[in-house]
Amino acid sequence: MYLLKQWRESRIISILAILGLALLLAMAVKGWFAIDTVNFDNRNYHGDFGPAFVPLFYVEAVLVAFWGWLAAGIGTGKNLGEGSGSFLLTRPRRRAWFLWNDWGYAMAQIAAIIVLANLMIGLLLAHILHLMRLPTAVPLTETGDPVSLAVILVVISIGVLLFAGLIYGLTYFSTIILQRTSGVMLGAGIIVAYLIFGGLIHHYYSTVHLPNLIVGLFQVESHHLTFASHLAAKMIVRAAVVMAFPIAAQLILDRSEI
Amino acid sequence: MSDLAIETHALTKHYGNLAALERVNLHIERGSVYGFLGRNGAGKTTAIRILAGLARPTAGSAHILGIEAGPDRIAILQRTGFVIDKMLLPYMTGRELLRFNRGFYPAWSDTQAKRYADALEIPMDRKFRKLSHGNKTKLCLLLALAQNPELLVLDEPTAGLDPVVTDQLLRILVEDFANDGRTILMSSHHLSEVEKIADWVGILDHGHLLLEARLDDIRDRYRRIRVAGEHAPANSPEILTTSASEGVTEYVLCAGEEKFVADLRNNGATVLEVLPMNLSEIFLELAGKENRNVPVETVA
Repeated sequence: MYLLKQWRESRIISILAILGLALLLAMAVKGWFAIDTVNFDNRNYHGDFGPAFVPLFYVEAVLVAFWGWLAAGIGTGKNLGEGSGSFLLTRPRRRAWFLWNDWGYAMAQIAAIIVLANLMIGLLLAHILHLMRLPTAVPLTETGDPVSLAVILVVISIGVLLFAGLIYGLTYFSTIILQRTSGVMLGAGIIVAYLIFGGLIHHYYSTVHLPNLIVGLFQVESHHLTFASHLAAKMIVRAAVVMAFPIAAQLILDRSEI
Repeated sequence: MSDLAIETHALTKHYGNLAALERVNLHIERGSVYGFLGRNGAGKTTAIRILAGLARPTAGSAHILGIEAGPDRIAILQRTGFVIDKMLLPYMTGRELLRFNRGFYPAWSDTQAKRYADALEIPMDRKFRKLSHGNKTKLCLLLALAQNPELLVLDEPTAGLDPVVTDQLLRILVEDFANDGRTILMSSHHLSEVEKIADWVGILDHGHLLLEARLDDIRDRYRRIRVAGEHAPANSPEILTTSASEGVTEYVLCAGEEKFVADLRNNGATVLEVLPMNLSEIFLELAGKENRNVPVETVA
């Protein structure tokens, strides 16, 4: 029942995501067959293709987070703004039930987008590596041990999910605070303000760095790209931050007068 | 089980310095149709929003169907239909709203929903935002009725409706709901409608409950008495209001008409008229005067 509401409210941006994935699929298919006609000579290939994952991660993170920002304008905050909040919140469910349904639905869509996009990218990369007769593994550890393409894409997927989840959660939280869709603008404002503030802090106190909004998955060690150190711990901390926003939104919604 | 469907005790709601409700004690019997009257801004909607769990009282408590409002909100919402803002999900059609709402209520009746949709002639395939004001209100009421609640709480359900639609709605409320022994709390400032269907009324003004009484008792006991001269018996608690002009004094009494008239005559007064009062006149006497020092009156 609630799924019907969620679909009806979000179907425009869901279709946007489907179109984006379809475009990516078309490009991947075109690339797949175009690459078949290239005569690869791996004897000319000396480095590893690890650095290619860095722009892939950042581009994907920004695109998916933008979608998360759009998705945050839909849900209970929107309902409160359009005046249907009193109808919705007099259905016999806890307010938290509505909030966590919104959050779960959006995060499930974000996860689906990431998985499908990385699946297509992974298949294309595997195909290219196969044609180049190169192993589908990259030495991304500090010890130089190769990491399989699948593992790299899983790590990238988690990184993108955490960033998009952060943007979605922060923006959704803003819509609950303002009790209207325009909370997405507040969310965007907070993000921009954080970036400017971080820049100013760093300008005046060069040793101080505010935490990056995107978890840095990679680092350069002796001209060699590796996964960032303590990556798992950083991801766990970031996951806790991501979860803090819907929890805070729940606390506010529970105490709000409608 | 309490005989009261709704009971509030010293219910108070302040918004900063503004007292929207001030120690309101409502007693709404099960099976009654309770007209909750008041001018705009009297505090009716605030009280209803507190009952629905959309707002919290500053002080006091409310019990609905024997359950304390607030801690066990879900149990109340399962058994009570609230129609407050008359705004549903605007992008859904009536049919989709039925599907959406059905899953929340174990006692939901598709048969009743269809019957009301047909009876009220609601275009169920049109999106909510494209419905006329009257059809929006009818659809809100349909959703509340089809959930088969024990109690229906309606905030100004007939506001802005034409007489035909108003008549349709009131007919359904009385014939299908109230006659089934279920309870209705209906706020309104359309006194004639309330008078038509209610058996109890509560009059709220500036957050104070001025009167709570059975409508029949009001009709039986409230009187307007016109007297030549000023001969009111001293200390008459029955006097609601007094006004004098050109040697004629007018009293509005809430009870004890015969004794009051006898006392007047014993004082040598000439009683010109003793008139019964309708709800509209009583409402104007209570809520239409600037004198707010009227005690809460409960006629049992």
